[in-house]
Amino acid sequence: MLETAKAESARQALHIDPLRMCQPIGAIYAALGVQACMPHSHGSPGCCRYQKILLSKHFQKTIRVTSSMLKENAAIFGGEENLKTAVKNIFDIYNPQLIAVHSTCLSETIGDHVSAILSEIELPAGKYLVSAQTPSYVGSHLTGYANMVEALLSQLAVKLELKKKKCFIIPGLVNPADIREIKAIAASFNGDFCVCPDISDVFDAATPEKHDEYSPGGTPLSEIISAGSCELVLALGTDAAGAPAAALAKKCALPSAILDLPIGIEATDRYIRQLQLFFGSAPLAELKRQRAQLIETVMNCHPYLYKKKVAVFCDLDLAVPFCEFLAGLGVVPAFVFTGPASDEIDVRLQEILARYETKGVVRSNTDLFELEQYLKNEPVDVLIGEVHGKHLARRLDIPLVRLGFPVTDRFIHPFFPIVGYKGALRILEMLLNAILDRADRDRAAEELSFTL
Amino acid sequence: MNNCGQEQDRQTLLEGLSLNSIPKNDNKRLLQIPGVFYGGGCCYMACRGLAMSPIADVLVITHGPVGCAYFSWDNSRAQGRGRQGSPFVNRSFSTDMTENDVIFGGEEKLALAIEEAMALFQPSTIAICATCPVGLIGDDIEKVAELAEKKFGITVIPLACEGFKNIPGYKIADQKIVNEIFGSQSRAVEEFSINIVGEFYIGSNKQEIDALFKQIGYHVQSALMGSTTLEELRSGHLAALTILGSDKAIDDVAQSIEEKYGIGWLKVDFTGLSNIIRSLRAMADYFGDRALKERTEAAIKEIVQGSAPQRLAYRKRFAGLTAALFEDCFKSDHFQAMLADLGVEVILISQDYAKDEVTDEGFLGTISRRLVKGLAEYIRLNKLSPEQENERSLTFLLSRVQVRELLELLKPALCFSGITQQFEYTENCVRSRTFNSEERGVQYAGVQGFLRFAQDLEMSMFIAHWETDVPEWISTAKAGGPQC
Repeated sequence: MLETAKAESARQALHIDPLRMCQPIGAIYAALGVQACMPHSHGSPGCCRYQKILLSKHFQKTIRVTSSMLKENAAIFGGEENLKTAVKNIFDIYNPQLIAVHSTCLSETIGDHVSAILSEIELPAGKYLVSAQTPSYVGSHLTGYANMVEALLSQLAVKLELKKKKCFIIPGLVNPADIREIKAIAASFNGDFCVCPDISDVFDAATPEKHDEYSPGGTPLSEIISAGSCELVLALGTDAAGAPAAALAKKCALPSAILDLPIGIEATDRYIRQLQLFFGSAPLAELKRQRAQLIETVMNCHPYLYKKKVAVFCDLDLAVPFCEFLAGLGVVPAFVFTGPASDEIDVRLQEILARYETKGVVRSNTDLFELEQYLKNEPVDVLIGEVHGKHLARRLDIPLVRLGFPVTDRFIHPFFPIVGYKGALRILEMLLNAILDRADRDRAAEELSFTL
Repeated sequence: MNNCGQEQDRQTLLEGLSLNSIPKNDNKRLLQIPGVFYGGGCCYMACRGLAMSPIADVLVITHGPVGCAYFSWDNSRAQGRGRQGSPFVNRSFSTDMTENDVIFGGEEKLALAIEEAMALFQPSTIAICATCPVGLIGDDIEKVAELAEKKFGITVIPLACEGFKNIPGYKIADQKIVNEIFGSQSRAVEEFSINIVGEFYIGSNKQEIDALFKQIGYHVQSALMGSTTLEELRSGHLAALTILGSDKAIDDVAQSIEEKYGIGWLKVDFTGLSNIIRSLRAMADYFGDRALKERTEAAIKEIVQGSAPQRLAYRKRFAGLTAALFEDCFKSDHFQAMLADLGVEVILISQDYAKDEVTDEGFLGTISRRLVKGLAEYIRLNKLSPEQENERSLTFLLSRVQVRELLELLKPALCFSGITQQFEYTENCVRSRTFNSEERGVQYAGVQGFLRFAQDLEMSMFIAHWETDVPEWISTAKAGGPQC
């Protein structure tokens, strides 16, 4: 079936093999990046369970989320009572410092006004409530992340006149090791900075033993409240971090900058340059060493990558730096498929492809099935994307490099970064291994060699 | 291993509990208290995942936002017959409902989605699973289904399984199948044909059970919530017996099959050797056929004798061990049965379902008389008196804190804490995180499944030494000592 790409343009209603999740999962991820915060889903009981399973399988961690348990009654009479009971129970039983409530398609459709309901609740001393609107029928998981981070910053941060040389970094939806690397690079300038949300020491820490204990990680609430004292807010990734950075900048009158996630050589260069300009210190020997090591490795291995064709399917914030890194290596990003995106992003991706004199099909707001139709006509050497490309990889017999979110069928990956120069080495290794393993597999036994 | 021990072990298996002890699930439900961790799912989840995804020849379209379709994409339940080469298996279909659809209605989009699915995949049956917004905005999926049936000459099953519905989702799907799909075709029937109702009949469980049934002479006519096809379900009404083996409150589906088609039903459980034996005997008794009974006894003999060497070795290894088991834990009934067969003592903790309006949590702890002896002091101090008792155990009403304290006193070697993770593990207790069969994709039905469970138990109890071992450099480090 479907030997041609003709069918792909015919679909208007049926979405097959989605490339994106809904907002609440991004909101839960973001809320877990705040210290002693309980994410709360104002929706039906199953809603947060789905998201909990996916997060816990990606990070191999117990994920703790509470729900308003909206049932038929709530669908008719509204979820106000449920939400109030939930907030009381959560503070009583789990004793968080903050409850971050996000809405769902159910509560948005029945018209619950979450922030108004929460404002009627008398809070115990020193406790906080934050609410974000995250209807599942708008945007993607990155939108949910952005909305929750924006809610945290705009509802908790206060405008401060007294500024200090501190950088507020919003990192996007990445793994704990990536956050560690983003922090390590920033720390090498010996300046003051804060990463929010910070899921290191949360998703890669031991699960707390008692139900009212929280992971040691997460951005401290005090850092969020005093975000207004920073002199710069730095967003890493347009889709996930752009809007919250703009909101914080507006609320607390800060300058803001939006960069790509520091993945690959150029994007990492830009991140380091931005920090260098901000802190005004000299580049560090260790970063120079890492970069030199990366460049030398690229020099050694790029002949094995030159003109290899890849298909990339992932979040937009990953797609842009992936594409730039790959094209820069001489790889052809033949297909770049992402979830919802603005037109500007198509332009950016095209601009990157043009800069490296290569061509690719860039599609946003699409699904994996469409990619499959394209690949049937024009196969590639490697697929790069999340775990749901697994069936596609099997059907088309193309190796899959698992990058992005979620990767639920492999262990340990969240403990190694893909950002920074170190991360670039890792992506390079994964990509090369996929290509070389496949070449070895396809080679006749008598042609196998111990060298390249 | 001596003969005496072997004989004793055989007796335990054969004369242990009666079939009545297979737990009734009617009243079993997970508490849904706003703001309290909950291990269950929603109506859509059960309908789409449990009931529909194991049916190989149905293309399921999720009518709603993309999230629900994405999260229910994985088809690990959908293993089994007829799966290879199906063009739509392993895929996720949805109408990707947007804000516009929520405002103006999604019926047209759904109709178009069905049309597109027909053009691409030509399925013989399409099911529509509704998500939360659908019921609220008033999309008439019944009407869309009816029109599509006429237009394409296929079966379209509309399932109003909005996530917030109180009724469990698998019931919505299964009642629909029993009422509308059963009886729509008449396939030739073999002797001793049975319907299976229960989510256990998938993957390696299915292989185990199929082999056992083949040996004895049963023929599986159709399966609800298990690996099957719609073609098989169409002649489900011709089976001679329904066997029900489910963790879910689904007894009334078996009842309605009986009422509608006059097919008797039995509760079975193919997890744990004594359960398997009792189930097979009950099935043979139901048919009353002599040859069938003989074949059943032969199979039982084979099960008992064949597994004896390994089973005895495991019993010896586990002697004197205690495990804590939380009833909301996935397949806790099965764990309990298998632990009993392996001679492990079980402390059962269940949530108190007695009250309808629950504002705070209560727990019921069932503890054997032998263990209670050691708790006299604690019971006296906390003024605990048993809620229920029988010759083997006492049941106490406990608070969350008391559960934790009791577990710390009893020091179970293993704790099956379940998916709500209310008590993930207590001190001195090996965690059960990796034991959750759902997460590891391991299934424990049949004899091989039972031995696999014993092996996993051994692995969790005795192999995970690294979790409790403290290296010298940590144990000797003192606070205030030299820092590196």
